[in-house]
Amino acid sequence: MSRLSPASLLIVGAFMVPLFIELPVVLSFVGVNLPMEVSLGMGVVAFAMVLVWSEVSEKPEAADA
Amino acid sequence: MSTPGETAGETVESAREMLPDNSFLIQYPHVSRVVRSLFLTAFVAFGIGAFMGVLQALHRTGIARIVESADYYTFLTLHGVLLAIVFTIFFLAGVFTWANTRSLDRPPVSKRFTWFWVVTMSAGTAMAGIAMLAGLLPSIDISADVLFTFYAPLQAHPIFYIGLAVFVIGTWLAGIDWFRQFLAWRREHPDERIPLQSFMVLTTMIMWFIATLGVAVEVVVFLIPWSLGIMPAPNPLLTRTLFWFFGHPIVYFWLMPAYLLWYTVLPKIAGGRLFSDPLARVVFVLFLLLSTPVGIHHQYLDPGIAEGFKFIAMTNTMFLLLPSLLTAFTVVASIEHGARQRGGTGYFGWLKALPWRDPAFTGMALAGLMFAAGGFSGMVNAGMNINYLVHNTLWVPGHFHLTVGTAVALSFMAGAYWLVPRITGRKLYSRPIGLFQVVLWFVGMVFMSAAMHRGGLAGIPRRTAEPQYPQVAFETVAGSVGSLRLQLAFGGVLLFVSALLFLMNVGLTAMNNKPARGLDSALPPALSGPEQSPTVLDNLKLWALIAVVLVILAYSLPLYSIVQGAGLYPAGQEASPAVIAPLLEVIA
Ligand code: HEM
Ligand SMILES: [Cu+2]
Repeated sequence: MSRLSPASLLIVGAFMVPLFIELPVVLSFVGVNLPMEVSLGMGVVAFAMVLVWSEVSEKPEAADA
Repeated sequence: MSTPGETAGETVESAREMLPDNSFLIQYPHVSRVVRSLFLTAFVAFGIGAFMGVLQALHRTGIARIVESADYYTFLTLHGVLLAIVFTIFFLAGVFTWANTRSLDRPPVSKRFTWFWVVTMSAGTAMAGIAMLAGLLPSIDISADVLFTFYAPLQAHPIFYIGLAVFVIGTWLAGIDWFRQFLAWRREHPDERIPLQSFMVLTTMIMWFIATLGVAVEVVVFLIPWSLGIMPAPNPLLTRTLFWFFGHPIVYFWLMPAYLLWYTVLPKIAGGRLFSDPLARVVFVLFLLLSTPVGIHHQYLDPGIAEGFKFIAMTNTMFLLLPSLLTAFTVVASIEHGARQRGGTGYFGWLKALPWRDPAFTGMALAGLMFAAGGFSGMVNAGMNINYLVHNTLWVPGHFHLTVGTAVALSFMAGAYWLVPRITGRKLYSRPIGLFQVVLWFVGMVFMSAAMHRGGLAGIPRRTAEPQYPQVAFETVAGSVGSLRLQLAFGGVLLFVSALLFLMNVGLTAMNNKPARGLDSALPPALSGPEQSPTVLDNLKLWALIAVVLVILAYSLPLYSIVQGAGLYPAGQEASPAVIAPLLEVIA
């Protein structure tokens, strides 16, 4: 069973977008030059990981049973 | 997805009898019709405006140039006027008609009068719309490519200005209608507190009456006679000042209905109650007082206005942040209360208990979140010194697509998901599509607005079809200008898709044969109710008077010195472009 419903995945994914769009800007203040494309790519990877986690991890109740 | 207990073949008509007696549609079928017709105009304008938006986003980034660059201003004018004036004001007129009727629990005084203002507003819109669209047809000598900030020396065809004047008169009549409805209620309830929603409608309309005086004088006294060729060109600085006298408060005319939804509808959807009724009243009074005497903050770069006046406008503007911060607090406290009623616990754990699957809730929540970001970039605009950095750059559209383009527009879309079933008796066509649509708007706007803000800091100008100059290299802090362009265009496309999904979902709802369920229209009482707020808050005459005094203080000296400086009609002022002379020759 998936941990996150499609609606939750949608919301979680949406909240990740501003984080990865602003990441290169924030890093530029500390002198790190992260290209926008790389940052967005990292976002896609992070979202894919959430997706995988949601599919493979077991619900706490299910684990107890 | 079908709800249990739904029988096949049930029609909307037979189901209407099953709606609860206190549902709005049953109690006020006629008012529901008025609201439906206002929403229809709003959504048509929204569709056309959104299409212009994606054209601009693709055009100015050089991704796809479907239109001629020469026509860009026609599209931009249509985009600004249809979205920022027609969509917003027709929708809010629908919301106010609903809210005033619902909270006073009585219909408007005269059906005839209500339809009269609806028709007046629509006729004005049609005239202005025709003038703008005619700009795309070279064979017709009518155009209005003056952008939604219509001041001299750019000149439009008289039909455009006359249409605007008729439209504004329509909104005044609407305000009079809502006041008459209130006064009729007052006669029967002499000692009661004004119901909260009605209080919000009335304070907003007083603000609007004061604010539109500026644009009425600009259009009727100066622009119409000038475009008809009867009078010479007016002093541009004077028309700009009169425009912004109205141009700032109009942003609160957009926002206050969104706040009405946040304060009164959102807590209900979240399963809770408004945190504080007195605080809500204080916020609306503060907006009434402070919205207008700040317009000069749009003119920090205008020569001919002394720095001291600009400084006063800046100070007032900073005070204006206060009611918005109060709103953020009250609304979050109300939905937290709702979440805890639904079993949410912990410092942040309650967030999970909110009805995120409901597009009406999620849309308004995301709209509120984006408004916070818009507030931050707005503070930058409002500072006299840092404004010079961003003035007339892409930063500015980046800012107001967060505020009017999302805080307002997305709240209205989310509100429509809640309200349309209540005024049609039909079930929302699809909640999942609705949810996907509001989230898509949020994501699209993150892409587009972030790129606009950062492009603006790099110096890329707004309002231009081809912001590519061989001699100039724009430098960005992070990433490249090329990637910003892609980001802007990508966001614009997502927004357009989201707009289409919204229109489709609402359209299919209006035709849906499944009846809506459980539409009681009662709103839960506030945790801290009106009995806790001082009665002076309901003294609308007092607040109106103070608002007028503040406006006189803020504007009398600047206007006097502008007229002293260059007069009402400076010699040698030419119209641009000259379109009226040929027309007059035909008439003569
Ligand atoms: C489909 C969604 C939208 C897209 C793709 C979009 C895109 C754009 C772009 C690219 C510009 C800048 C053009 C320039 O300065 O050259 C712009 C300007 C503008 N937009 Fe939007 N927009 C959208 C939705 C909205 C909404 C919902 C509103 C308001 C309710 C709005 C109000 C405005 C206004 C007032 C301007 C300024 C026009 C001017 O400079 O005269 N837009 N839009
Ligand atoms: Cu302003």
